[in-house]
Amino acid sequence: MKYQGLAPWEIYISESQERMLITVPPENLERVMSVFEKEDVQATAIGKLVVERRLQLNYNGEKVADMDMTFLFNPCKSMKVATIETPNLTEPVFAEPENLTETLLQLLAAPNIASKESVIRTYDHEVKGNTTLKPLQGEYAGPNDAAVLKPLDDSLKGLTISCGMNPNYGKIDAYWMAASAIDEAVRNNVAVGGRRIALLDNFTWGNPEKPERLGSLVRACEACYDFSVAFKAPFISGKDSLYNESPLGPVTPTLLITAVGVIPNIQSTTSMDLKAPGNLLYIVGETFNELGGSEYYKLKGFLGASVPKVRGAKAKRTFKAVTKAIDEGMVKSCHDLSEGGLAVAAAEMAFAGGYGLELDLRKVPGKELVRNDFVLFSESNSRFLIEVAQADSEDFEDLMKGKVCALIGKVTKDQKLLVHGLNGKVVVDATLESLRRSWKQTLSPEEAPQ
Amino acid sequence: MNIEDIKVCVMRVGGTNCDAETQRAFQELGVQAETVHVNELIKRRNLLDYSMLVFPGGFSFGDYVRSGVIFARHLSAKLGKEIETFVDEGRPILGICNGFQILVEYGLLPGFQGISAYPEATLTTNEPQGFKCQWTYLKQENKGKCAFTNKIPAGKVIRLPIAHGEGRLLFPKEKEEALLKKLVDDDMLVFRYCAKDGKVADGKYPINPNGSFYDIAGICNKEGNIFGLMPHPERAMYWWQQPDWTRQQQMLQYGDGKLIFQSIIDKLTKKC
Repeated sequence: MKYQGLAPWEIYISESQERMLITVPPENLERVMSVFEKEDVQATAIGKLVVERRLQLNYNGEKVADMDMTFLFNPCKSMKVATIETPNLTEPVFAEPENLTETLLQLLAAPNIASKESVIRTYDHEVKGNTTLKPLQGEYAGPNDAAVLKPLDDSLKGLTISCGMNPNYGKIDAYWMAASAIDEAVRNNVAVGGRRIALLDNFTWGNPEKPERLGSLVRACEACYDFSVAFKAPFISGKDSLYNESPLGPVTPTLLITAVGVIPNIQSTTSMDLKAPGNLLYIVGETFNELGGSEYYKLKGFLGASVPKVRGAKAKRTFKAVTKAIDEGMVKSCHDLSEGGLAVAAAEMAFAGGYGLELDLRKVPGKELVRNDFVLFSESNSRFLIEVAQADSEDFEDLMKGKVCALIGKVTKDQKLLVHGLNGKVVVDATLESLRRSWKQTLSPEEAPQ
Repeated sequence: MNIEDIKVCVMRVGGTNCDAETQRAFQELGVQAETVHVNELIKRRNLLDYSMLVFPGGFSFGDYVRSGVIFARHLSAKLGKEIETFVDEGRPILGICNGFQILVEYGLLPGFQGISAYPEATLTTNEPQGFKCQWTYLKQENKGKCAFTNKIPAGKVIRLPIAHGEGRLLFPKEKEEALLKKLVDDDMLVFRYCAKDGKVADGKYPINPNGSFYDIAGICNKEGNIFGLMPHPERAMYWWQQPDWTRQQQMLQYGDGKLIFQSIIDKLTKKC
């Protein structure tokens, strides 16, 4: 006891940090205590498990509590009301901007997309010396989709760890927000070579005793169930933080999904930076006019309604094919498409690798794609950009048969991102240096090119 | 000494967190390496059974007061005699990151005239301030005194990662120039932060990641058997720890960190 004046009930419910309870068979007690002693850690035996199903607490030889287990663990059931609200949202109407290069630079500088380098580097992401794919890639610190650890000294197996989150989608629909977060976490994991994926959820929500807060929570949980089943990815842990409210209202409902996968051999780990000029760039997955809740709409001051959906069965097939292509060594680099869509993903691959890209939006497979800005910035789920050497292109295309996949451009020596629009004219023309600067200046200005 | 007779003691205390990979790096090169809690050494009083002492990285005693200071005082109170003998016999001591901070706080480094009663330098708060985890380039500037760098020719650039919040080496301002001269004249300067092409940082961030005086990343004592550095060689031991191995056409088996471990082993086995 640090403080002697606590009553028995206070001792029992105190929430002091940095403490743990462990159970030890009596015959091991002495050995366990000697481990703690060696480490200068205070440890005390405070009780034992008994056959009677009762919790009995004693203090200075006096019984202070005696409760039946059934009483403790079978609280009475209560009924809560949830209402599921459908906000009345519409798609904004505005003209396509004339200068999409400028729009791309603005998006790269948006806080949700901009480099988090200044924060990431304040964490020791190399401790234990087992990090084989770092959160930031190479000389230009590009944003890798996942981290890979090699935890075993005598094995080349790796652990792939990734995340997915987008609270903005929840302002439109909590179900598709949760589905998108799961898809993003899984596709980030797949992008570096992960499979056999398990999930963790972290909910941050308002007061669930208010029907509409509970309603959105229920919808998010339904999506967790549906897409856990669809991706055959079990939830193995999680944490929630509810009742986050102030007189100003509740927090934006937020779900962070973490995905943990396995890569059988870390040698096939795939980073997101472009590797060599002359290589080809493919887009895998279908693009829809899904811009509701997107960073692009946000930049324009809109929320919209067309939140990205997840087509579970199709997505699963796409992920499987990407894994196969990585295992067969065809994938030079791979990056998922998320906030900011195709344009941001392509820019990141280019400025992280130090090579240019030339792309043609007419080749992007999708539904009703008629606007350059929508093709560039749509945030449809389950999509990847994949770099393939010319020599492997036939094999890659064979492997992708039956999936949505198209060759949309190639890696160039020019230090430039060049995009041809739906009418063939150049719609984006930006130097890697300017892309890099925009991406870093918002949150990591000290790392930005001078 | 035969390689199989070399026994490395990796000393650990509450807060040490780089012991396992440091031990692994030595074992990889064929020597015996053991992680030992300082309490064990105090109880067994067998420090002199070891041929080399290593202080790995971490946050010994939670980095309270000043990084490394509590561990250093604890050691000098409890194991001072053995450590003095260890040093007098010229046995090697390596301090990595928090280990370097411990060596400086103890007075083992810079060690212009043996073990000093008070620290002659400090490793203080980074400038810009804050913990930083990133890869750095280092120029080897030792001319042969340091027992840990004989596999790295003077002038060569190597790559190791740093991860610290207090790595800015400073001397007392009024003695700065004189002590630097001594450091160079006595061949105690080992690593300086530099650009990829070997041009020293000249204080420029982020090439010099912590504002360290004269871009200093690692130094040795006057005899060359005690070496401390802020970067982590044990995190640059294998190919798969490199920050850009996914870009390499031809994979090397090892990273630059190996050179440091191999140097001292070769020294002990008299290969150089």
